Amino acid sequence: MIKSIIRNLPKWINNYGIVSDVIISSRIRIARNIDNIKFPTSASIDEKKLIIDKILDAFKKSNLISEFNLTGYNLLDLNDLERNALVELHMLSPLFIKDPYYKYFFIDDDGEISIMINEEDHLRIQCLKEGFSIKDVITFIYKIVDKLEDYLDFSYRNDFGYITTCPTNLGTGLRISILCHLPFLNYSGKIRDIISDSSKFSISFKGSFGEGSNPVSSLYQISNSTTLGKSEEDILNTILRFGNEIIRIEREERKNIMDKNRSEILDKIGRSVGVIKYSNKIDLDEANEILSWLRVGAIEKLLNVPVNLINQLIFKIRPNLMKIEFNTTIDEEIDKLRSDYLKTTLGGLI
Amino acid sequence: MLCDICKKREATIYVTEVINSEKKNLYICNICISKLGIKGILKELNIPYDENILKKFLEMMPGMVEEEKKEKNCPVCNLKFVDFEKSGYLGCPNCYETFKDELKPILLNLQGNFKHIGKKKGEKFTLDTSLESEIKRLKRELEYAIEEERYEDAAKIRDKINKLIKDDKINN
Repeated sequence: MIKSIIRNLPKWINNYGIVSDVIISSRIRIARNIDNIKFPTSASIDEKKLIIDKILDAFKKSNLISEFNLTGYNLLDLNDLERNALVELHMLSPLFIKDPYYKYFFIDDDGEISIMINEEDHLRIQCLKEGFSIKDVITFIYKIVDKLEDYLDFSYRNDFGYITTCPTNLGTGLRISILCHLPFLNYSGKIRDIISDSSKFSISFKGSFGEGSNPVSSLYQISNSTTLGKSEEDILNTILRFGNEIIRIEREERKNIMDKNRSEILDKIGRSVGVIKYSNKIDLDEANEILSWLRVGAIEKLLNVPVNLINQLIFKIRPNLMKIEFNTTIDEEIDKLRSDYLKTTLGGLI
Repeated sequence: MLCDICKKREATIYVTEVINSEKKNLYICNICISKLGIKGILKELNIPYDENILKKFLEMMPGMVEEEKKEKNCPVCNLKFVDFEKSGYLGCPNCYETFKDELKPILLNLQGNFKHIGKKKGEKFTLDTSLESEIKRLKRELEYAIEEERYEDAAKIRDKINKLIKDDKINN
């Protein structure tokens, strides 16, 4: 199952969701810990085993495995490439795979749900769906979390709420994030003001797939920066409001720039097509930038390429996914293989 | 000079205070102050508590409190506060009880708050985005603000509630 998800990508990448021109996907994760057991970051081997046993037992008793089509894996059952590929697909966290011992996780058949045991917290439950669908995702994920609560004694205090290893997740343990493609706000530079304003609304606004405040991919991860002193609904509403505002201003900026600077944008798209057609090697940064412009071309219908094919490629070109696709472990070959892959996949379309 | 409370250990804090028009020197050691707290010390010595004397104590103490805070450890997992400051991770659920007071300013800084108002343990999550629930939530926030004597916040929240009710009346 896991191999097929890695090869064929999870559903939320393959499907084109609501307002996906701006918001590619929605992700919600909830942190929980069992009471009276040390956090994984300081637990002994025996305690980590106990955490896994308790949680697996709760999963068995609760019927969650069959209800949500989950498959469980010991992280050691996967090779290094597969572990890193799942990080590239946002299904496992970098911290989770750093030390692979006494780690266990569940993934559903669609690759939308992932549940990590012994990450930073005893339990990290995450759900990903395409588009701007955080209302659906939150209702969906709490079905799992609330059911687990019937079988596990989660650590909770009346003053601080749900207890977490790091106080940044305390209270609700809830993190809602959306992956946005904002090429026009990035191009005009307006993104910088929006990012510096976002902290006022308890929002974290980060470049994704490339560091810094204006990544070449124009992909941004927007999430709530606080989890305490707000209800789950407040957090949801904050991201709903902010997400809608981002959609509005990115579309407005797209219209402005396409009206005034159309030839500049056509040039960017044309050059990106050129690189794919005639280059022999493409590194990750360049591929991220090219795909960002091709996505603009696809959305504006300047290119006859489906937008969700670009979404798939944004993930497929990541180094570990490339290595799995081409069955190689040689780093030096990747840039060449990436170039070939983009040529073959987009060949007839651009 | 020996501590006025235990009369055994060397005093580390020295505070002069005028009590009933009589000048009084207070000598207290680290251990007694961490055991009893400032209020407890004053009670023990039959000194009326006021803000002025509290300030005098605090002026003498910052370094010491800092040191004690760092060396304090959780009885369940042995994590020291200084370890948390380095890693950002607490050791076990009980750490939140052990370091409750030390964590509050940190939470205020990180989260802007130190009071959970989300779903309670055992409650099922339901999504209610109706106006009624928004007002209910704001009323709860208002109660907290008053409880914590954040009157400026309370006034803002009250205005928000009134505006929501007024808007609703116009819309209907």
